[in-house]
Amino acid sequence: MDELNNVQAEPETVDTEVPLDKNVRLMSPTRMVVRRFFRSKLSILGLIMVVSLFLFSFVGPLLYTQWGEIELDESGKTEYAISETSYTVDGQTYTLRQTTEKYLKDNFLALPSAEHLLGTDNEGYDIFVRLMYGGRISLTVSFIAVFLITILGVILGGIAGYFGGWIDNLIMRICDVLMCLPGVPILLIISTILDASDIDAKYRIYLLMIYLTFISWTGTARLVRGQILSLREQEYMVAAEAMGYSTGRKIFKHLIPNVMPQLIVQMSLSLGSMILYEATLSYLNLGVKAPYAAWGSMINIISTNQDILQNHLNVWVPAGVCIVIAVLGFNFVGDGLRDALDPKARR
Amino acid sequence: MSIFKKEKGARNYLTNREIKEIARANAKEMKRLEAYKNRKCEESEFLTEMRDPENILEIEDLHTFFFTEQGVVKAVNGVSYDVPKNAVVGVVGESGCGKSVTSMSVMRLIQGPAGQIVDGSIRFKAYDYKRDEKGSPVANSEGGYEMEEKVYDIAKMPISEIHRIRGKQIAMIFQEPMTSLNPVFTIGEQLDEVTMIHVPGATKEMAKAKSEEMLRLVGIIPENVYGAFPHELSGGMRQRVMIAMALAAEPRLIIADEPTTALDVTIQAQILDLLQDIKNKIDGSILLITHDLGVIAEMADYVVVMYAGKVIEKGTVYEIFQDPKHPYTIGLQKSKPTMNLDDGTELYNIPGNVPNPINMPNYCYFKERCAKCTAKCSGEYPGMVQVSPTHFVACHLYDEEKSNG
Amino acid sequence: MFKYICKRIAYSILILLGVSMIIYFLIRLMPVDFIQDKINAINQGGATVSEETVNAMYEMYGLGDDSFTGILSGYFNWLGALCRFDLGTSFVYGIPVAQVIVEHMGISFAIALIATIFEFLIAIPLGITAATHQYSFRDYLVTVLVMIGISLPSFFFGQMLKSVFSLKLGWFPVSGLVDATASYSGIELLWDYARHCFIPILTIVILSIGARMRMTRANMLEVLNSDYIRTARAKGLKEKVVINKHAFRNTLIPLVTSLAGLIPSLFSGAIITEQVFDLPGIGNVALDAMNRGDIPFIMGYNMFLAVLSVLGVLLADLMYGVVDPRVKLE
Repeated sequence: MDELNNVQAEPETVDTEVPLDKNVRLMSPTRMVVRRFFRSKLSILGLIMVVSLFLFSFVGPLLYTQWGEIELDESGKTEYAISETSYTVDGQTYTLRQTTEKYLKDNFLALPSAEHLLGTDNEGYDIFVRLMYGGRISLTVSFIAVFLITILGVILGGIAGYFGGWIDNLIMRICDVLMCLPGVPILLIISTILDASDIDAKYRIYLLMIYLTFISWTGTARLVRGQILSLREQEYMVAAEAMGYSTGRKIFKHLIPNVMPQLIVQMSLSLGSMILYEATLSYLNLGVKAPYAAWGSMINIISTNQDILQNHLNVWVPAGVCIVIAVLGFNFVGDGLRDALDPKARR
Repeated sequence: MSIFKKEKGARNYLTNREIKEIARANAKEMKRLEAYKNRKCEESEFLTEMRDPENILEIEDLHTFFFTEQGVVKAVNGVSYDVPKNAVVGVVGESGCGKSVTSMSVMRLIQGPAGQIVDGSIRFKAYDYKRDEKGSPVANSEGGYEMEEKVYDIAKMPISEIHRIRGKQIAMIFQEPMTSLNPVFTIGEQLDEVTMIHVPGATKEMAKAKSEEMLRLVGIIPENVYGAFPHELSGGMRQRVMIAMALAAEPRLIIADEPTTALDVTIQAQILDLLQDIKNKIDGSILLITHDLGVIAEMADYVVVMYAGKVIEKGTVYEIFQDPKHPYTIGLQKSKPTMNLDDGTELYNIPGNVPNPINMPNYCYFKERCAKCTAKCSGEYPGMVQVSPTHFVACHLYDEEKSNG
Repeated sequence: MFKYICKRIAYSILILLGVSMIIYFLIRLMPVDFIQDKINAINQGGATVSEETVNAMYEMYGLGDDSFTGILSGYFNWLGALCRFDLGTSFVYGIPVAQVIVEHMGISFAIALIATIFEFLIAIPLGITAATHQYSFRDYLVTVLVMIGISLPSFFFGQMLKSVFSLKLGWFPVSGLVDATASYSGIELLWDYARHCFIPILTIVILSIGARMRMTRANMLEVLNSDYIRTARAKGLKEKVVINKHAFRNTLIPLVTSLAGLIPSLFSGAIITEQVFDLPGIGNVALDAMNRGDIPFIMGYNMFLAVLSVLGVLLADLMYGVVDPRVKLE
């Protein structure tokens, strides 16, 4: 096939007399996609958001080594408590102000300063540094989950769509059942099971996300199955059939490349939702557990401590902003990709 | 994968810089034209006069472009033709030659912002209710309404005024009857709507009576169809309904855009018979767009032949069929299959493909597919040459005749 | 039609069987001594879980017997109880689970219903203008709003609103459903409810509006590109009528269908929002039960949610047949 094309492209000598149906120079397909993607300011913004978060989370801790993730600032803190006692002597009221000085080991709830760029939290951990580590967890976990979901979805959806029959029926019924499972409550149960089986706090969230993939592959599987079903009807697949291609060749050379655009879009959009999921779980104290940092659990602090909610915005707002940036970034990119890869887009 | 390999040649593809330039130029043009389309203006600005009072539609030097990422597609590039009163004008050409875009331009149905009427005029002689300043029709002494004739330049009308033309003055029958009816409304509701919006003071009963009359006219028993939903009808039935809908407001001009292309051959014949029949019954003209020469020969009084966004030949149906001048028209007729090809000659086909309408050169577009090509053909694009009072052709072969008188 | 409904119901029951199996086996993955620890914790917390309740639960789920037949018989035992609408007795509340659910469902439903009404009222017009003015400033604005809506984590956004409107400005109460310090009745009580629920509802509306708006916009765009809209324009209808009558009716089909599908889920409670604002809705109760190891309630609640979502799918399907004349349910 490729040789033929090259031969046709050869005669470049006749430059003036290009036939009129071939005189047009078009955009190459790759360039068209790239151009469509970058035309939208939102996709560029999304890309910038995602890339800077990546740099922040993965390169940041290498450059900014002043504090560690689980390193308490033990420089100490003096807390002053003022107590007033009033008593009356000879009709005169006196007030006695007493200042008690209390020395505490950890420098908690420090205000932002050169020492702690965003201050410290209620335990004495550096918030800026924990944001970076929380980002690491969030991004890694989401990537793993999306990767697994995609693989599982492509395989199961591919099998269902390609072979059809009872196997298709079986897989689709499993999909129906999984889709009726309530998401967060089921994760609550799974999390309780993990609690029961004494798992290292560090790996817990990974396990939880792996469980999550087992109930979340249905969307991808349906997408792949639907695509394959419609592709099977297309002429070029009939042609592939007629040429006697092997099943593997048909799937990997003809079907998968055609599903790729939708898959890529789906992946970037589900990255956003996975980050949200992870943050929610950590917020409910089901995901990453202390002392390790996660964006969600950094916000969780306020659900028990109203003083922080009201007076120490530097403790919880940055984590929320990070989550929003991450999810928004992936959603912008996904939306941009969807528009760019849509062959029907008119503009 | 071969698509990606070709890119190494790069010669067939636009450079990044060119793409940016195209996008910038397009954005500017589209913005200007959209603003022109959406402007508010006085009626006097789009009132005009006909060149020939016998015509009801005069298209002159119409340019309709599509601003795409790949460049400007000049789908209609300087088209001029007339539709006389009570006549059937057929427009033929290969797909992509701009015949449909011309008719869509007349209805102002070109999808913006990419598609725009860039230049030219579409003069139409409308016969409408006389309206006072407030826009309500003026009643006459006999209990009806006063009528008046006005000539509009449709190309210059702001889009907010176009409802004066559509449906009431010019109606359109589309190519795809299967999808052209709204699936959630009954046939009756969709038909009644036409009367309700175009007849002043129309009541529900009036509209229903009119719709039933129209259904009968197109050969449908109204009782079966009036309350039905579109999906319950066959393609042929739906096209009949579309025709009934077009006729309901008694328009002066009906544009039938390939009305039979999407139908079965037997149904095609029925619909054509119907159109033929209607042509005699109504007081109006038909603009019939098709790529089927047989249909044209049967129905049309005048024929316009289009190629790559331009009119290359036009004349009466006899002139075009008996004495075609342009090599393309000749080729078209030769490539029509007939029964008496028993001498073993193969069916003729015109070599090559329809040109891609971006970056067209300034020489005859048909040049490299033409068997009669001469040295002159590499020169400027040929102008229209008059070969008889009604017959015009755009080809260098006939240039001398013009200079001879 | 009747036959179709029967078929769909039978199918839904099958799905529920699948769901119940998964839930049961997940619960069985919990070690028994862990459950015992949790029960002890509840007992220390003040409430007393009676021996009877615990034993009843052991018997009902067949816990303790980890042999294959034990698990199997435990499952069918539980299933049998489910069929009699017996969800067991909650450890924490000491009353039947079904009763706990019914008691706390009302407040969740009221909040969700009001939020859904506002969601549709705001999202549909915005989605339509975005579609009819594609690529305009309005469209971009709506797109950005949509994105923000679907990207904000509910707990963060809820806390933000709470921090600003309740704590900083003091316009609304911080949490709970009623003012604990006052005893209102009649209109005043209703007003108190409204003040407490305003911010939670605002949170839900803003967060859910995005997806609905996007759906409306996408549908409307598809409809506007269809041939019958061109026909409607060619008839001479004004653009307003084309959009508000011809296009809108077609856009409504998926919207109404999705609305029908939403009805059951109104009862399920918004776990996170209720937690943030400490509302005594079913979601918050469930979260609390989960944390305290109230096994009967967890199982009951999960089955309740599964039934709701199966019902939602069923209703959406039936609704589709009602709204779209092209669809014949057979």
